[in-house]
Amino acid sequence: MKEKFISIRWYIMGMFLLLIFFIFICVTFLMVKTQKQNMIREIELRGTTIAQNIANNVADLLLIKYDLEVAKILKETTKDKSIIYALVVDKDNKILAHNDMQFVGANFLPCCFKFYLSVNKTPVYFDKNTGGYIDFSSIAKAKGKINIGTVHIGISYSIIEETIKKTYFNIIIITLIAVVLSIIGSFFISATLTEPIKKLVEGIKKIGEGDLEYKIDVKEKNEIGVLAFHFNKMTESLRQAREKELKQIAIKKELEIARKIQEAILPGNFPGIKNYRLISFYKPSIEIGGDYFDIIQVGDDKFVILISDIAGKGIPAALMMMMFSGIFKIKVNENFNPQTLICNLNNEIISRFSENVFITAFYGVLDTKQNKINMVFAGHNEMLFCSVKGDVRSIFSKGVAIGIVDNEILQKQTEEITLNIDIGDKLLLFTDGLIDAKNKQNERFEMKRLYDILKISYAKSGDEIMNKIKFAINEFMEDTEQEDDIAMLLIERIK
Amino acid sequence: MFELKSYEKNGFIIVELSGELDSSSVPEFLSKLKKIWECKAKKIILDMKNMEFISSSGWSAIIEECKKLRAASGDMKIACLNKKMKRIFDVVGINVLIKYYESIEDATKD
Repeated sequence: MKEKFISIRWYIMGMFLLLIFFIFICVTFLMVKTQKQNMIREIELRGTTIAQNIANNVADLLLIKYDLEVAKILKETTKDKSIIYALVVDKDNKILAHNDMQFVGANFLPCCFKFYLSVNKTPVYFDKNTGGYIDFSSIAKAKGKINIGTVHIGISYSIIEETIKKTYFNIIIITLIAVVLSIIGSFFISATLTEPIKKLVEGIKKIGEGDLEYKIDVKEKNEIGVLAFHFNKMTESLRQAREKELKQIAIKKELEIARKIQEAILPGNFPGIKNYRLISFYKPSIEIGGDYFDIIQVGDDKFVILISDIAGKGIPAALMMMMFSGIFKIKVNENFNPQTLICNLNNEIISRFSENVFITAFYGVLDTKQNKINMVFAGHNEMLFCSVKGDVRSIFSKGVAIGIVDNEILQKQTEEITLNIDIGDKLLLFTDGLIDAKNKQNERFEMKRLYDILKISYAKSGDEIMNKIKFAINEFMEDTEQEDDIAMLLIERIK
Repeated sequence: MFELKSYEKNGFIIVELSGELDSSSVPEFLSKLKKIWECKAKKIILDMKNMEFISSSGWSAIIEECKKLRAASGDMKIACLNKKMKRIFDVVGINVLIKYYESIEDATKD
């Protein structure tokens, strides 16, 4: 930017100078033309008058052959340096008298023709010795009647040239003075014009470097002033936006901490379950969310398993999840029977929150002695059951999410089912964040992909299956922003 | 892209929803729906035939609005859900709370 920088000041000065030159060229042309015309008129008048005077004076003298007198008069005339010659010729153009006596008797021939003067088309002749001259003639009539000859005088053209030269010289001097003055003037004028622009540029530079507190001090009541005003306004908006952004960054940091706290609520280690293996996976979305799972031992051979999803995202869902986790732990201790527990949880949620909250939950009681699981789906999506033989099917029972309806209806609408688990059978529980995950093409992961993975890998261990799903979901989403939490629980009977 | 249009039919306000209703479009849904039932009738049918996806936040917003409407002696019905959304509607148990119809005609007749 710097090497090609040309200040507006130079542009203004350049324009000024060009304008001055243009004006002076026009003035010069007009002045020279007028002056030349005036001078030619003057010279013509003078030449004609002198020639006539001489003719009047010499006519009678020539008649009486007073040649000397005539020569004297002619000589007298040429004392004026602008008059090159004065002579009298007869009808045959023979010189009768001349200011220089030696030419008497010779033929009068004007020198080679040079050019016409523009006013009356007066011819200008040229002679090596004398330079350009104009010839004027007047017929000398003796006693007013007898045509005795013609008087010729030559007036030097150099007078005109010299005067024009002088005019040129004067104009050049005036032009030079005008140029100097206009340089000085335009320097100051451009300085006044560019000063606020300079201030504006400096201000913009400072603001560009990040100083959003800076105010451009331009008080001009013109376009530059308006520009500065709006620029200051824009900076103010930018400053406010940045403040907002900083606040948001702070909130984001706090949310990250909140998310860590939230993750800590999820069980890190599961209680050792005889003959069973439990594998979990949790991938929170960018924002904090509300997926929650837990496994609690409630008897020698009995374990309760919960996976739930609090509707919504952000702080409300996260706080709700924390609270729900607390309520769940308390209520499980009171009564872990699936239907009763779901009703108790519903009661708690409804009595605390009247609106905008619902929680979908899978809740099951695993009996490791009888190898069966009693479960309810409180509005939660189905689970996938993968038998040792490779049958993959979804298991679901009728239910209503927690927080939507009163216990009376909930109880009626909730079905409890039992599933027997053989050695090698696997149960995959998950939240809808998994099947609703989006990729770049805006497609969702869908149940089918999950089903296909299980169908292919049914003989593999729970760990391997879980890794395959994790790989598949990461590959599917690539770097698409994760909208919802993903939680998975895989229960595998190993013996 | 979420959009909401509404028109009147047989004393019901038919609210045509299209696009995706998730946490990003819920505020728009709530404010527009509120405007509708504040100045028009309180009997609303949500026409879902152009809807592609409703997240849990979306469903919870619908439930919230339904509860508010009923408290203000209005009502809400849902019509024309696609297969996938109908499944979620049933799975979550929203069918227990809000009546569902296969077409707008059925919904306005009932």
